[in-house]
Amino acid sequence: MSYYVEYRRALRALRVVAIVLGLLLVAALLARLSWGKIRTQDDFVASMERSRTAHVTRTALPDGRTRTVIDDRKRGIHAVVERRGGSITSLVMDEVPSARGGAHNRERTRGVRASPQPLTETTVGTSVTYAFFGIGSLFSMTIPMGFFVATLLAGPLAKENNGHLELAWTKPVSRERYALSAVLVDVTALAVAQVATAAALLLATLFWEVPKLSFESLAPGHIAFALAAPIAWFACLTAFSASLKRGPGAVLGIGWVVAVACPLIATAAQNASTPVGRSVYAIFNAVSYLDPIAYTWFRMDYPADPARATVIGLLALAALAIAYLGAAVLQWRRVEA
Amino acid sequence: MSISVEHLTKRFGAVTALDDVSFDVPSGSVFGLLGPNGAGKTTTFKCMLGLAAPSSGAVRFDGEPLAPRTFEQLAYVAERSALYEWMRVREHLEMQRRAFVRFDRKRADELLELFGLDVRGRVRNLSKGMRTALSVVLAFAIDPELMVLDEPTSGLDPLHQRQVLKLIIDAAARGRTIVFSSHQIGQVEHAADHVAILQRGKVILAGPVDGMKAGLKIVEAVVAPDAVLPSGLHDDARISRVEQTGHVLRVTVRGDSEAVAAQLSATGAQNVRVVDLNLEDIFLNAVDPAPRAAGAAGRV
Repeated sequence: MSYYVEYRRALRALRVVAIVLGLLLVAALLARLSWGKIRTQDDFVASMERSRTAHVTRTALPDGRTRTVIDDRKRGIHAVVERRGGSITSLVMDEVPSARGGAHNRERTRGVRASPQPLTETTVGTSVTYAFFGIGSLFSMTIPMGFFVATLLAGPLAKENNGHLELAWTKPVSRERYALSAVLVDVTALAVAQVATAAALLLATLFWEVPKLSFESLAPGHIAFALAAPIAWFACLTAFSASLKRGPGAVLGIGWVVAVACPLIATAAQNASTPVGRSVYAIFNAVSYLDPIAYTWFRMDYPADPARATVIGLLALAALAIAYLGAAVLQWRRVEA
Repeated sequence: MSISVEHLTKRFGAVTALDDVSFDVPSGSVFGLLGPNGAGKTTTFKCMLGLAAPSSGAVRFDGEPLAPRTFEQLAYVAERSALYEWMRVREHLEMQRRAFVRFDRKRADELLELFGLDVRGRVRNLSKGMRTALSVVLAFAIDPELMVLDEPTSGLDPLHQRQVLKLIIDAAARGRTIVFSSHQIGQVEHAADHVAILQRGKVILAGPVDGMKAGLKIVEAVVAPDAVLPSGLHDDARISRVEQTGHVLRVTVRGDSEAVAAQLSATGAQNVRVVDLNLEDIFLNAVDPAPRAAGAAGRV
């Protein structure tokens, strides 16, 4: 096995991920302990009743209970609450077509679909509050962590080039295989980090509500997209650092600035009317095609067809990842100790 | 495993680091590569092992060009530590174990004990000598057919330097081929049966050590510090080198050394004697001192 060193590096990166996620969970727990009372069922129902767009009907039942029906078409809520002596004995919520749009009241942002509003479902005697997560949306939320870990792991070839080639290249394995096995280890670590992040998000949710996962129709595409974006970013940084003798630190730092600045500048110049402005837009828009980070927002402007946006983004990221890794390995073959 | 280095040339821009270097390392031999600083020893090793691409020339291992499978039977100790600072000693051993089927953990433990290395230690906390020792352990724990050792005693204390030499000699006794460089010419003489001397990227002398010594003698004499060499000796074709350090005059002679000794005695020199050449004499005799710092030695 020629990838042992990269395996150790990946473990170190995952240790950092574990620390970050641990801190996030502690923060979530502290928040829950501090603000826990805000999210009681009474408060939840009261907040629905207080909504200006809600239509509330109260009825006294023959057995002494009271029934409150809350209709809020704008928010897509229909809730039936039954109380005895002020305590909620039953809460049933249905999701209804909202006045704002789609049957599931999904709010769409560029490239990432937000999960539906939390719903609650209560049976008499037991009271459980559920948070509904689409698994694709959940993985979309792990993309920032993916970029962070990709940056930690990026430049494995440059790291070897920083004084270790005499050990790396005197193993009975070709340079190409060495490079690809190192990349494979890092890609695996990236996936592990994102799955761990998704699990941590679910765990953090559990401090308030029981998470319920659903598998949306676009989930496979969203999951693949969420995994591909950090891999493409990792490949990009690896390609731009592969032939460096010293560590890839400068490339990683400058890479982030360029990757974020290019789409920002293109966005700012998008509606420019002057020739200079149009040229600036043309240049930075073209560069952003090569920028994996841009695909998570700037290059994903297909509000009418989310599925198409996801597929096009996924294909673009896959092509970028392959091209960048190919460029990295080609450079790696020519480096000298 | 034999090595054949054929017309190796390596240029870095306008600088020619290796200039048509050729030599053969017979299978089972201990081959010493000598040369002043900057002569091209490390570049030769790097070109041999594919760590640097030669501008021209070829290197063959048992008649075959270098391939990934060659490294199944080859270990290299680099001049500068290539170890991973953040990894522990035991992780380096594990790295070798996973990469080389020939890795012998028991042998590695013996070697670690020999050099007093703690498996729990991080490389960043090791001294230069200990890093060299760990590199040597990693190489010898594989027990390969061929070992290329670039300054394998660098930074080691004399005791551990001796241990490394013993490892080299033991490996040679088991039929292993060893190529190594060292500035300690005495060490090379102790272990090597073949040498090549490089200067400014060129091989100026190569072959079996015994063959180099054959026919050459040193005539030693005690003379006055300001003594003048007999005029006849200046043009004597038998004399290849004259070196005077204080009262001691050393004359390197090819051929009839007794006649030269008699000539020196006739000039009043005291304690004239003929002694065998050592490798240091051969090295100093071969290397052009011109670019070196001024010293007592000099070619007549």
